[in-house]
Amino acid sequence: MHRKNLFLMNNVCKSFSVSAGNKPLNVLEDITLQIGEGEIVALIGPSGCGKSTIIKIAAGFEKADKGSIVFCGDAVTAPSPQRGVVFQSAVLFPWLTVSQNIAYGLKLKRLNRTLIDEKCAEFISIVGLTGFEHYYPHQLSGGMQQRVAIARVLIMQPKMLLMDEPFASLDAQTRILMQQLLLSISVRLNPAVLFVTHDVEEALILADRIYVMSKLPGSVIRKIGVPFLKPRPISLMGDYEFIKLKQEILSLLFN
Amino acid sequence: MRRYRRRLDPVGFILPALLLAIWYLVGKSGEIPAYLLPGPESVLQVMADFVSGTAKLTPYSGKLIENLSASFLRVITGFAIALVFGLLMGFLTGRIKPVKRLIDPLVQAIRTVPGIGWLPIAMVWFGVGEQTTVFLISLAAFFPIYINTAHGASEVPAALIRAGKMLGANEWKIFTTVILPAAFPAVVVGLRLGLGVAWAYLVLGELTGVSTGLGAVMMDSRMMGQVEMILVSMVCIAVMGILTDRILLWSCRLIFPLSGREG
Repeated sequence: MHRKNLFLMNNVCKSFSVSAGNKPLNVLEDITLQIGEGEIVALIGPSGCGKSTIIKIAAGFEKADKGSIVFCGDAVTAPSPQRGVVFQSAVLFPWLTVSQNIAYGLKLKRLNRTLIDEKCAEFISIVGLTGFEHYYPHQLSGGMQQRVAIARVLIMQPKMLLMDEPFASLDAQTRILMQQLLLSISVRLNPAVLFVTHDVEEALILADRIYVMSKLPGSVIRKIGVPFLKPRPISLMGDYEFIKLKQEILSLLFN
Repeated sequence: MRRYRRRLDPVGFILPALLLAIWYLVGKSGEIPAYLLPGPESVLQVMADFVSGTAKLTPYSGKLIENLSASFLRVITGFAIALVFGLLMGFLTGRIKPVKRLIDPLVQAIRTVPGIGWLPIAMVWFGVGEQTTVFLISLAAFFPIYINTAHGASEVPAALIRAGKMLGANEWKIFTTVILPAAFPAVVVGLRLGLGVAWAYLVLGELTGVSTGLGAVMMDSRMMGQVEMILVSMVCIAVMGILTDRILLWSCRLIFPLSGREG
């Protein structure tokens, strides 16, 4: 299937100065990725390989030292609701309730009240939090908080989601539920997704394509197309092809 | 959501009741003469007379409102000045590094001079009375407000600010919808400390010689040997201190629900 390019990262390099006088630490080396409309792409790599830095640069939180980042034909210079970010922890506004957190972005756009309320109710139901509208974040479990975090970016109808190990801090069962939620969202709303993970199975369940990264300085060592048709049930994890791909990626990671 | 009004804990009344009983018994026994420590019943009478003005027990009979409002006005004026400067400078130093580097060392240096140490120079500048009192109050209340606001503003997690930006907030909206509410608990701590200090410095300022006000009543009563009246004034200040703190806390909760963050 050929898709229109939505997001391009060309030859991006990034280094950090660790301390004054020391040689700067190369974090990313010549990263090139492209993501089509509605495509789900996973970035997988050993911890500390600069995966999160790619998300930060893609979001517009940080600037690349070299290379270009293009989204919808325009250079990325600042964060935008068109590229919604889901962080590893939910990062909700603790002084706002669930529905206020989700409505935050729409309120900034000064939409009328009834429209915001309608949209809010719709997205609360999409992430399965109906009945929890008036709870504060600290009253929710980690999985529920992450659902709020997803809803508050989805409500902005982003063309792309950037997810930085979004389910890593959740327990195994909640993680599987959240993966299924993300799959159903991608069918329903069809945003492109760039997500970072260190979990090979998660990448294989969710992604259309996988970029495998090396240790520092991070660079892409392999691009892998995931052949499985969607929807992908959990039982897929026992499939021979699935296990073979998993082995292949693991051997790349531990090389 | 949590209820704001908690039931009063009866355990908290045990010690005050015990102290009152001991006070009463000591007065009855005559161990301590009344000119040092009058019994609670005579203090209560003077208090009632201070409010109503019917018994004419002291020169201040019926003059509660007059003195209370004079003191209250000074506290509010001084506190308001401290609040404006404290919040403004606090948020600026908390969020903008060059401003912090410029302002903070000076403020910290000034802070090392205790508020009482400003009394003589304040009297030179403003004379005895009203302005000196308000000056001392606003100076003393400024520091806790400034320090706590600056601290709260600088500790706002970078992740929250990123979240706001990614959802479309511009710099001004980041300030009003992320930094302000995130720093708010620290700001409230600063305001409460500042208000407490304001009442303390009110007394200091008024002791130096103003014609009305609770501090003035205390000082004059000492010279006239009206010990009851000194104690009554102290009670008034305590009650006002608690009352204004409650009102402050209550109005802060109207702005942002603090209880949403109590873990």
